[in-house]
Parts: sequence; structure tokens; C-alpha cells
Amino acid sequence: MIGNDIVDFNTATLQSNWQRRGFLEKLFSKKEQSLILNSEFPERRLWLLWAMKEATYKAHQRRYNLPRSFNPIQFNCEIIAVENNSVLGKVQIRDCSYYTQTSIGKDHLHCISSQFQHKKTVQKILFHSTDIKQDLILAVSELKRLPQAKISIEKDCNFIPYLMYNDDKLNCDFSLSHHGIFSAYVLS
Amino acid sequence: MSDKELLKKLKNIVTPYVQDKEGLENFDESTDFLNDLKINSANLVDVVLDVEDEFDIEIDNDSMSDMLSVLDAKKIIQLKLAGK
Repeated sequence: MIGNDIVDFNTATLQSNWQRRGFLEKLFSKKEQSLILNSEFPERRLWLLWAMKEATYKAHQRRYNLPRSFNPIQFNCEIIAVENNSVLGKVQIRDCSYYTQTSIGKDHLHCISSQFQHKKTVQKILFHSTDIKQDLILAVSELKRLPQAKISIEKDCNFIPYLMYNDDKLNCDFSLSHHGIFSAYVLS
Repeated sequence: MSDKELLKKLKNIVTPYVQDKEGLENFDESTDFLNDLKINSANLVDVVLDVEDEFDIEIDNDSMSDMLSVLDAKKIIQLKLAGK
């Protein structure tokens, strides 16, 4: 299963005061807090770790069909390699490990998490959100060679989205994320 | 504290983080922070911190993980207030 998360840096700065008392402690382990505070760009580092947790939460929730939970502290992040604008990471939740690949732009970052290290995915980032769902449906219709009009996105009782073709559930791994002016999907 | 009072305080707390203001018009126990109010997940922690400040209680990690709707929050606040 895969999960993704997009962060719009401008929106994040406007909407979150990460320096407020308790903020870091509620979301990040001691080790993660020091990764943030010892970074040259603490706020960027914070949103990187946050996105790693969020993307992994989605992958993990889908994998085990779990009810929703707001438990970022249980997802333990490790940074494995930093190359140019790409960060490879590992996230551990209980006894499950996930690999994350994050691309960092000037004003946003996009993280994809999967239990497999080299997962082949189709991904797309859109600005000023045209309809990301329609865009995803188009990509699915091309990938599966199915008519677009008969594909739809539904949500199950745990609010996990899935794809339908006519009355059948499509076996297709995907994740959607929105934040600020950005939306993104990942599909495999 | 009456339920009505508690809900009023809670509504004031969440309002700055609500992305879908229409969801506030029908604010009641069944209101979901994510689905109805479209609160950004990064702001759920602010809701938790504001609840701690407003009610002078501490919300542990287990309770925080369940705080996804008005009803969840109400139950947790009442439990913590009773334990003070």
C-alpha cells in the first residue's frame, strides 16, 4: 500500500505556530525533536518529518484497514539519505517499516510512503487545484485501459478512499493529498 | 460544566482552524473535525493544545489519538475534568 502527503510551506507557516509550547512534544519523539532543532532550517525539517508520518499513516491505515487515529507520535522517523532535493527516509510504526521518498521544492514538499523501498509509482502535483480527483481518474483510465466515465472514487467506513469501475472495486493502490495551493496524487 | 457550555467553548476553540465554515453552522456532537469542518490534520494538535489550556487539563497521547469529533473531544474533556 502507498500513502502520500503534500505540504505547502506558505500555508504551513500561516496556519501553524510550531514554536508554541507543546507543539513539538505532542507530535515528535525526543530524537525527532533534535533532528528538527539541530537543523539549519528547522521549520522545513519539521514539515519533512510531519509529511513522512502522514504519508506513512495513510499507507499503514490502508494496509490493515484501520479506523482513523491521530497518533503521529507513534510513527518514528529516520532520515537515511539526503540528495539534492530528495530525501530518503524510513518510518517505523510498531513492528512495521515503511520507506519514504520526499521531493522538496522551493515552496512545497511531497512525500510518498510504501512498505517497499523501490515502489514504482505515477505521481502528479497540481497547483491551484483543478480537480485532482478527475486527474487521478484520468490517470487510472490510462493505466488500466478503462473508460474514464465509469470510474469513480468512493470512501469506505474508515474513510479510506477506493476506486470503483461500474460496480466493481478496482485493485489499484493510490493516495491523494491537498494542502494550500497544492494537490497531489500517487498511483501504482 | 453543562454540555451546552462545553460545546460552546469547544466551538470557539476549533473555529480558527475550520476550513469549511459551513460545517460550523450545524456544530453539534456529531460534527467531525476532519470530514465536516475540514480541519487540517496539522491543526488537530492545535485543537488539542487549546483544549488543554482552556480546560486546564492534560491530554495524553492515547486520548489525543481519539479526538477526531466533537463527541470524542467532549468525552475526553469530561473524563479529564472528572479526574482533576
